[in-house]
Amino acid sequence: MAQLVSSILPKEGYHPVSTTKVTLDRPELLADSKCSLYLYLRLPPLVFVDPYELAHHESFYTFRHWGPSNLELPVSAVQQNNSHLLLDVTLSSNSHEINVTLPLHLRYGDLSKRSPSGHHTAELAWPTGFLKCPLSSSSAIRSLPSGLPHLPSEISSLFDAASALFIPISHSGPTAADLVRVPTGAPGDLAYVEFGTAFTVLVAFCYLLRASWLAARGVRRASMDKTD
Amino acid sequence: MKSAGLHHRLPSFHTILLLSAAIRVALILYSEWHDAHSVVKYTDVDYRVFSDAARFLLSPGPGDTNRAQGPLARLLAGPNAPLGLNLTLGDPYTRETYRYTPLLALLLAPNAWLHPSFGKYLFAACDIFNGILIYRLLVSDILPGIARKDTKSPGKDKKGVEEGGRAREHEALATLYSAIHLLNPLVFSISTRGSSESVLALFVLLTLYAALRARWDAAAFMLGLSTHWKIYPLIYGVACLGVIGGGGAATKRPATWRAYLGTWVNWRTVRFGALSAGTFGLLGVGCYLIWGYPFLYESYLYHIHRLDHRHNFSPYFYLTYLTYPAADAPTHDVVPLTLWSRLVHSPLVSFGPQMGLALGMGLVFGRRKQDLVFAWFTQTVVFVIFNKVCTSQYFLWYLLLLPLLLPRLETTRRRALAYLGVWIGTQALWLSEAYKLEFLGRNVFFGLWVRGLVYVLGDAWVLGGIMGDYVP
Repeated sequence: MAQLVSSILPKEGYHPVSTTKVTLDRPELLADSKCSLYLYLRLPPLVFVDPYELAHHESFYTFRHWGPSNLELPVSAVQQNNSHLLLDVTLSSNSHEINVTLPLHLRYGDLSKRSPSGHHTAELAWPTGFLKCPLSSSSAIRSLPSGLPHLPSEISSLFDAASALFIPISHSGPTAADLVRVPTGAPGDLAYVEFGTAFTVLVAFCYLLRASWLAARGVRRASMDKTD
Repeated sequence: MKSAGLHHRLPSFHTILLLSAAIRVALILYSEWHDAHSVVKYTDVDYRVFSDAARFLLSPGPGDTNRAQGPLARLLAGPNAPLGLNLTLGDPYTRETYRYTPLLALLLAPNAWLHPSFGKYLFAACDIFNGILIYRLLVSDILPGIARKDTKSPGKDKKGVEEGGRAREHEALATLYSAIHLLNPLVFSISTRGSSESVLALFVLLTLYAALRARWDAAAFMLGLSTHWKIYPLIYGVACLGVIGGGGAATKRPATWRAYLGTWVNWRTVRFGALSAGTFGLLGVGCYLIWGYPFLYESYLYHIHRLDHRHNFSPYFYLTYLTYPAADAPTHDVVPLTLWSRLVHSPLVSFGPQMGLALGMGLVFGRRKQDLVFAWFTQTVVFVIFNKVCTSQYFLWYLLLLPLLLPRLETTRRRALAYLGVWIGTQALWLSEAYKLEFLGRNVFFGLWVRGLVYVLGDAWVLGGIMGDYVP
């Protein structure tokens, strides 16, 4: 019935975009079917979405989010649980292909998980996609394999497996996951950073202290000239 | 700067104003088109934060969520509300990362019901008004006050002609200096991207405007408002003390330490301090009564303990990242802190130099009204240089005052170009490396930190040079 393929671009940097292309074999089946398209993503702690940013994509999809969602912390400072994202994708009529663009963001990496190359890597599984169609759908739809995919309990509890048809969307391609990686600080830098920062601050402070003293002499002299 | 005949070679101030306004309107219109067609947005993330906060403030709910949490808000929304008001306000702090006064969200309320770009037009309008204030200050206070060493006293019949000519030259110079603000790409790009710095800049300039006219009650009120908006303008109050205590005029050297101290602590300065603190307090209490602890925490308390680990100009970012407390600290620490580490991380190293210099400069330079701009400028620059976080918006805090200071600087063209080159060069050096980290994912943390050190030293050198070029 449908296949999906997903990719992450750019591969480097802190702001990758996940693009999922869902290809429908027979889009005419869905034309009057009142089916809904859902994509579920499991996000490792290194990856997060900005729900306020996603709200601006509402013409393409609505979403629900579970799990750690802090927008600012490094990965070592958040709970090491996956977060979950469920997208309800707007289906346009008779469209053969649906592209879903999801902006992602990466946290600063965990120093303890730094690889020899100086990066923290995490696996981002491709979305799990499925169609939810009413039981009154056409016989062509009713004849398709049906069953709610394996989802975390907080998400599967949103769907009543007996009250609708759940048509899974298969992954197309040899792999079903992408790798995301971020550069990570080196613990061995700490001694240099501590000394260098303190020394530089001290040098700048002493330089400006002296400059202030000289300037103050000028200001004081000018104010005395006016009163003499 | 030599000004003879300048008014013949420059466009009028009105022309500069029109051009500045046109640039800003064009950029705001462009930003709407760009954001609709590009993944990388022109609009700053902060603008989205402000807009969302304004929307939350105007639309409380659903249910018991997103409601103002102050005692007064609960009273007005409850069944026992006086006059049966039943007024419900939302909570701008529902918006994660909104860490500003709720008055900013109120100011941007029209974003929700009028037009999403209303805030940008407001910030751009503040830019323009700031330029007008800078021009007025230059024409009426700063330029006339500068003693000209080469001025000869004209004869009686030539006096009127001389004064008329000087006024035109002042207007031309004021136009040139205010154009430095109005046509500064950093200024108009930041406001048209939706950063709210121009609003605080307006409050700061109004404070200065009142201070230079010795209207100290008005200055105290504006200083209180500025400090409510962001805490750092507090340092300007310190510079005002000596001017107020000395009557705003040149002072004889105090005979004793007690007399010297008396120039800072007397009934005039106490009145100024009380009015300023009172304004700050009233605004704070009012906001607390409506929005409660979230206002207090997000606007002020958060900033006391904030840890900015993401890269920014300040070299402290890398130190913070390498020692960021983990969620499960006892088992997750990679680098335990030694005594030396604790000392380096202590406020002694970070806060001490920053506030020591900022406040000290205020006390030492803030003795005469004509030195107030110099005092505020130097205080702001050291505050930014030594701050534990620094982004491009922070530069606007002192760039605002630069056009007002320039008439009092005597420097060679070579030195001026050197200052500009170092100031821009250190930023460019840092930005080129930051791009590699943020967008190319290259591991350049150490190099980026080193460039942060270069930024600190470079800007310190520039400030030292400017201080040496100042003619009191």
